[in-house]
Amino acid sequence: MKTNNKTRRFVMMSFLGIAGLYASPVFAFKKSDAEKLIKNLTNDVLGAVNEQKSEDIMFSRFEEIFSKYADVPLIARKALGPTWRGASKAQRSAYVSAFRGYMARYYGKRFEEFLGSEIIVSNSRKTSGGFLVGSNIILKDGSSYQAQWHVIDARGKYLMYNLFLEGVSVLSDVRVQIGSMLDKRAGSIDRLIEHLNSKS
Amino acid sequence: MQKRLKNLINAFLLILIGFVISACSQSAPNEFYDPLEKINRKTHSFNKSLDKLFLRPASKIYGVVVSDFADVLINNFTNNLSEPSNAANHLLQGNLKSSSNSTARFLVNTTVGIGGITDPATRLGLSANENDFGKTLHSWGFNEGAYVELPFYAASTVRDTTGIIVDFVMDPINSIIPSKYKPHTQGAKLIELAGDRNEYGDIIDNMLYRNEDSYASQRLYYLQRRRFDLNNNKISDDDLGNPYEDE
Repeated sequence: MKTNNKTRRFVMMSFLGIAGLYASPVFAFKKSDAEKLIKNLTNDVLGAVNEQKSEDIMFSRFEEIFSKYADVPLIARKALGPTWRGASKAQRSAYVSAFRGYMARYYGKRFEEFLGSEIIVSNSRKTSGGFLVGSNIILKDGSSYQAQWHVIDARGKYLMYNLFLEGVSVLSDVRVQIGSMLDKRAGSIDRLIEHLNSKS
Repeated sequence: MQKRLKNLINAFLLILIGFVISACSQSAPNEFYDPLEKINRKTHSFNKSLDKLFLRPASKIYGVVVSDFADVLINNFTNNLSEPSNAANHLLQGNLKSSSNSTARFLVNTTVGIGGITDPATRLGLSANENDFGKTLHSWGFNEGAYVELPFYAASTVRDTTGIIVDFVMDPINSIIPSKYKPHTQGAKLIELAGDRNEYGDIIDNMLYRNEDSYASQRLYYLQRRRFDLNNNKISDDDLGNPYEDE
């Protein structure tokens, strides 16, 4: 009886273990997948910049790229902080969509200086639940920036979560921005959404 | 005037207190220790108006008047002046190799490089490796301490401010270059300041005039950039944070 119990437990455990292995996507992704994601992302960004279309066209291209490669809902939530918890479902989705447009414009303006530059992906490392992909942005004038991309496992899919430009976290940066916008509007998420949509 | 002096002494005392506190506190990687925020914000608006009135216009003039070629020469010249200080700090950090590298750069660039306006050392494989006394204090185990925004100087920390003062007072270049040339070297550094403001024009304009809270942005950029530099350009696991954690 005792042995039987043990055997059963062993069988159960192995089964759970195998199920866990299949369910956990960490095992399925490799460093090269994360690097590929960043290579494609940066290619798309540089492509959009080098097209030299109007700002509106460029910003909407950035919005598509941002949606495709980054975990926008998670980044948006992190940028908002604790206010997220008190928001209704409708407010949350309105905020995420306003945030997406804001990010495309706010960083899009800064991407203009990448016109004609080159990005070399190198020196990546494993982190818990993802990878930190290293890269070097070499501008047209020869000066270079170090950019490190935090790629995470987002519900079975690899997506960009954060970017460090010369050590400065984009997520921290945008938290500061959103935080002060919220403060100026007495913590009202509706007024924040309205402001983000006003494209100022 | 007396009141101003009193304010100055107060500010100095506060920095000193901050330094003492910094010796026993360690802030987490994504956090800032900013007990002087109220004063810092006032200094920030002062610095911002200085930029608006003087530095920004001067940098625009610099951009028009100074050719790219001359810009490189000015850059080389002022960089070369800081090589003895780099060498001293590398030595204080126990890095003999980098120290002799900086010394060799200074000797080569001052002679072959015509007083430092060109940089043949880099072409000889002696690449630049900047250093300062703030880094030395870091290597000796001193904590960052409180964030401070210095009038006329912008972002710093208590540790880095101490470093700036020590670097300024103890700079070995003072005993190398005769004091009668001091106005010339200081002048070159002032021109270089306008050159730097011009080079990073868009980044600084965005930070100061387009961001929601320029004070908070500047504090973030300075501290994270400096920590990255002190950590040999590595992002630590602590910096990454936990994406899955709810707040």
